[in-house]
Amino acid sequence: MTLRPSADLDALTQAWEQAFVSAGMPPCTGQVPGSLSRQLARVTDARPTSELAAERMGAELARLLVEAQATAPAVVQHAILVIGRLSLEADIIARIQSALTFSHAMATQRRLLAQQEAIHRAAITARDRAAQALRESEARFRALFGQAPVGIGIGDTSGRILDANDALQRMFGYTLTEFRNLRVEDFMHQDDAAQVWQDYAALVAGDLEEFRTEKRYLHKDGHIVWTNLSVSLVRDAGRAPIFQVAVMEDVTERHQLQEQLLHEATHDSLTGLPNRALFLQQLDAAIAHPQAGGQIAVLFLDLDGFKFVNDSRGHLVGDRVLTAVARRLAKTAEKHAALLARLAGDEFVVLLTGQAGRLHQVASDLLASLDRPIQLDDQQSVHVRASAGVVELPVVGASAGELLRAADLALHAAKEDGRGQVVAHDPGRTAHQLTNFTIAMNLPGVVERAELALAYQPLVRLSDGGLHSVEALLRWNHPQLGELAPDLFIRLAEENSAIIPIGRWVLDQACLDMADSDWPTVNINASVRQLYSPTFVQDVRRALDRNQLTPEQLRIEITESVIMQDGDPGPLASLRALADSGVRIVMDDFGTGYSNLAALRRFPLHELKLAGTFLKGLGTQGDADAVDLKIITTLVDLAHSLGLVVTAEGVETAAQDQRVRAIGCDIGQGWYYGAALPL
Amino acid sequence: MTRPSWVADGIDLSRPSASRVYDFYLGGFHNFSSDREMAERAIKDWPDLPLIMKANRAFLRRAVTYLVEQGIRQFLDIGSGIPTVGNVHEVAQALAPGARIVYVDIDPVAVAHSEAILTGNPDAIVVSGDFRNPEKLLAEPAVTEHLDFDQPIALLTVALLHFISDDDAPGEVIGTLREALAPGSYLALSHATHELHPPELTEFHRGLYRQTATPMTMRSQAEVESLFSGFDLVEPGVVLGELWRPVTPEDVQQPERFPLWAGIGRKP
Repeated sequence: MTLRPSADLDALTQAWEQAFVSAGMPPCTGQVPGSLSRQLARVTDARPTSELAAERMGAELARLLVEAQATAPAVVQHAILVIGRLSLEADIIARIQSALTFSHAMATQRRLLAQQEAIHRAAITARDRAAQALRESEARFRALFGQAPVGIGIGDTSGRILDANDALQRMFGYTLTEFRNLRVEDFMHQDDAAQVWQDYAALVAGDLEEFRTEKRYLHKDGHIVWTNLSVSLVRDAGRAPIFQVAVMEDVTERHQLQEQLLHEATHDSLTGLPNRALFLQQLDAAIAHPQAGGQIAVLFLDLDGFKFVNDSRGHLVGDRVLTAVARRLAKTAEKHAALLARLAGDEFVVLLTGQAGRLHQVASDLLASLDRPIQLDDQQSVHVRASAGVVELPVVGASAGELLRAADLALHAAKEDGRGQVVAHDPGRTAHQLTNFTIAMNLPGVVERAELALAYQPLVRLSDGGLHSVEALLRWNHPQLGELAPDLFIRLAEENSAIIPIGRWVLDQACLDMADSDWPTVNINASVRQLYSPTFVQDVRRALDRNQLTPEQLRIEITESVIMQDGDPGPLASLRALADSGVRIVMDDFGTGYSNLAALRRFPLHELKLAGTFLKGLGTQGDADAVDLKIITTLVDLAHSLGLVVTAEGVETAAQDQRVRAIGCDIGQGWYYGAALPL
Repeated sequence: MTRPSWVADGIDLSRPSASRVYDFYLGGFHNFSSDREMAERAIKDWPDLPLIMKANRAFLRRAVTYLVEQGIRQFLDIGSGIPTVGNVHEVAQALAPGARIVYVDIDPVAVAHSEAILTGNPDAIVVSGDFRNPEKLLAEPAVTEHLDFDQPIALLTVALLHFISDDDAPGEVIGTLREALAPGSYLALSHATHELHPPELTEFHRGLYRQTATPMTMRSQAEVESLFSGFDLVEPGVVLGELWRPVTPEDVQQPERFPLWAGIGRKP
C-alpha cells in the first residue's frame, strides 16, 4: 500500500510503528504527540521535490532514529521499506533512502565511537579510582603497620612469616630478614597451653576466624616476652584463607607485676616462705588430687622460747633469727621435697605428700637443722630449738581443717611433754576436742532421733544400806562417736538451747521409768537453762501427773551455777514453786565452784551432794590432811544444821566408804555401792 | 577479621556486568566484548530479551511520569546502571524542571560513566552504593544532602531485585529504606519472573547471569507483591509490565511476551 503524504499522518505513524516492531523494537506509543513514530511520520509527511530536500529528509530521519537509540541495522532495513512505500518519484525515494542509510550509518558510527570512548573512559576512571583507593589503603596500612605501638606479624597459611613491623622486631629482637627465615611454629613455647596451637591449626585451616590468648615468647636473647596475642585469618575474594595476621601487645611488665603481687599474696614478706594461704591451697590440692596409696603428713613446728628472744633482744634480732631459722628449715624441707610455710610469728608448718614413713625422719632432720646456734654477728649468737607436732593420714577422706587441727594439738602435746620434742597426733587423746564440732552439729533433733538413753545409779543410805533414791544419768548413743557421757555434750547443748528438749525428755523418761519401778524416788538433773524456762514447773507437774507420781517421788538436782544467777528471780521462783509442791531440790556437785554458804539459806534445798573431788582431796590411803578433814566435817555439820541431807558422790572404795561415814554423810553414791545401769 | 574492608574490589572488565549488558539490549554502545558476548548468547536462546528490556525501560518512563504527576520531585534510583536514553532525570526534569535525582549503583564503571553524563546537571547526582547495605546508603552525606527526607521521595528499584538473592532479604532492605522515607513517598519496581515461561528458558537465562557478579533470582507475583509490604499499591497493583498504566490500549500487544512484574506503592 502506498503512503500518501499529507493525506494520512496516522497511517504514516502506524507504518513507522510497524517498522519498529518488525525491527524488534517495542512500540513507540505513536498516539502520543512527540513520540518517535509520530515525529518520523511528520518528517515523511512532506513532498520533497529537489534532491537536496530529499537528502535532508533522509538525514533528518536518521538523526531522529539514532537519537532514540534505534541504532540497530534492522531499523534501517525497515525504515527503507517504509520510505519505499511513499508516493514519490523513484529517484527522490532513492535519494531519501541513500541519505538515510548514509546518515544513520554515520550517526551510529559517531555514537558508537562516542559511547565506546565514554565507557572506556569510565572504566579507566573506575580503575584509577580503585587503584588510588588501593594505594591509599596500602599507604594507610603501611603507616598503621609501621607505626603501630603493638607488634604485628603477617604470615601465610603454611606458617611462613612474611612481614613483621618495627614494634614486633623490637619486641622479639629479630630483624625482618631473620623473621622471614623463621616460621610461626618456631615460636612455640614448651609452656604454651595446648589450646593455643589447636586454635592456630584451626585458624590456618580456615575453621576459625580469630583467636586471642596470653602467650609467652622467647626473645632472641633468651628472655621471656609475655604478650596479649590476637591472631586473625585473612581470606581472598573467593573466601579461601591466604594470610594470618598476629597482633601482639607486650605485657611482660604487667605480667611480672601480677606475678609479684601473686607472690606477695601467697608468701611471707619476712622469710619469703609460702604463707598460710598458699599452704592451705597446696594442702587442699594434695587432698583433692591424691596419689594412689599416698599419705599426707602435716608437721607443725614452733620455736621454743622465741618470745624470750623477742622480748630480751628486740624484734630486730627476733626477725633475723626467724629469717635464719626459715633458711635452715627451708633447706632441710627442700632436701625432702616438702613444702615449708610460715603460718605466723614463730610457727612453721610442713606439708609432706607421697610415701608414708618419712615423716619422723623429716621432723627430726628439721629440728636437727637448728642444733647449731644462729650466728647473728661476730659477737652475738642465739640458740633456738623447736618442738614439732605431726599428723599423718591416708589422703582419702582427710580434710585440711582436721589435719591442721590435729597437727596443732600434737604440737601442744609436744610442748607440754617438754621442749625440743616431736609428738605424733594421738586420735584417742583428743577425741572429744576433735569431735566438739560434730557433736554440736548433731545436737538438734537428738530427741527425735531417739539417740538418748538413761542409766540409773543407786543412792544408798549409809545408816542401813537401804535404797535412798536413784539418779538418772543421761547417755547419748551418737551414730558415729558411740556412747557419749553428758560432760561431752551438755555444755554444748546449753550453748545452743538443745538443752530444753533434752531436759524435757529426761524428765518424762525418768518419771515413766519411776512409775515402772519400785524405787522410792528418782533424781534428775536440771540445767540452769531449764530453770529459766517459763514452762518448767508446769512440765514437771505434767510429767508427774501423767505417771501418777507424787511430787515427793521426784528430786531435782541443780548445780552451784544456779546460785550464781543470784539476783535473777526466775530460777529461784521456779525452785520455790517446785519445792512448795513437794518436789525435793538437791544441790549437786557442792564444793566444785562457787560455794556461797550464805546463799544456801535462800534456796529451798533439801539435800546437798558433795562433789567427788572432795573425796580425792581426802586421799585414798586414809592419811588425809587433818585440816581438809576438819573443813569438810564442818561443812557437813553446817549442812545438817540447815536441815539438809548430805550425799557423798564418787565413792569407789571401802576406804572412801569409811571416810564418808566418818565425816557424817547420810547417803553414799558411786561404784562402791552400784554402777549406773539402764532400767 | 575477614578481608580488610579498606581494600577495594578490582575492576575486572573481562567479566560481564549486568548494567552494561542491559545497555546493549537497549541498543547502546556502552559495553565491552564480554558484555556483548553474553548478551548475544542470551538473545540467541531468548530473542525477546531486548524487547523485554525495552519494555522495562518503557515502564520506567511511565512510572516516572506517573510519580511526577503525583507531585513527586525527588527520586532515589537504586541500581540505575548505565544511563541511556530515557533516564529518570531526563524524563522527570523534562516534566518538572528542578526535580532532584540520586542514582545509586554498585558497578564502579557505571558510576564513573554516570558522573560524566551528569556533569553540568546539579540536580542529579550518582553515588556508589549497595542496595544490600541500606544503612550505609542512608548515612551517605551525598544522599542526605541532595534529598530532603522530610519530603516524599520516590524509591526506584527497577529491574534490580531479581539480582538480590533471598539470603540478602530484599524485603527487609526495602523495609529499612521505607522507614527512612516520609509519608507520601513511593516505591516503584519491576522484577523478572519465571511464571510465564518454560523453566528451561528461565533456567538458561539464570545460568548466564551466574557468570556475572549478579546472579538472578526470579520471583512470583505474590512474592513481588510482598515486597510492597508497608506500601499501598496503586492501581492496577502488581501486573505484567506492559499492563501497568499503558498510555494507550493499542500499546498493549502481547503482554505475556514481557515477563516482568511491575508496580507502584505509596507509603501512607
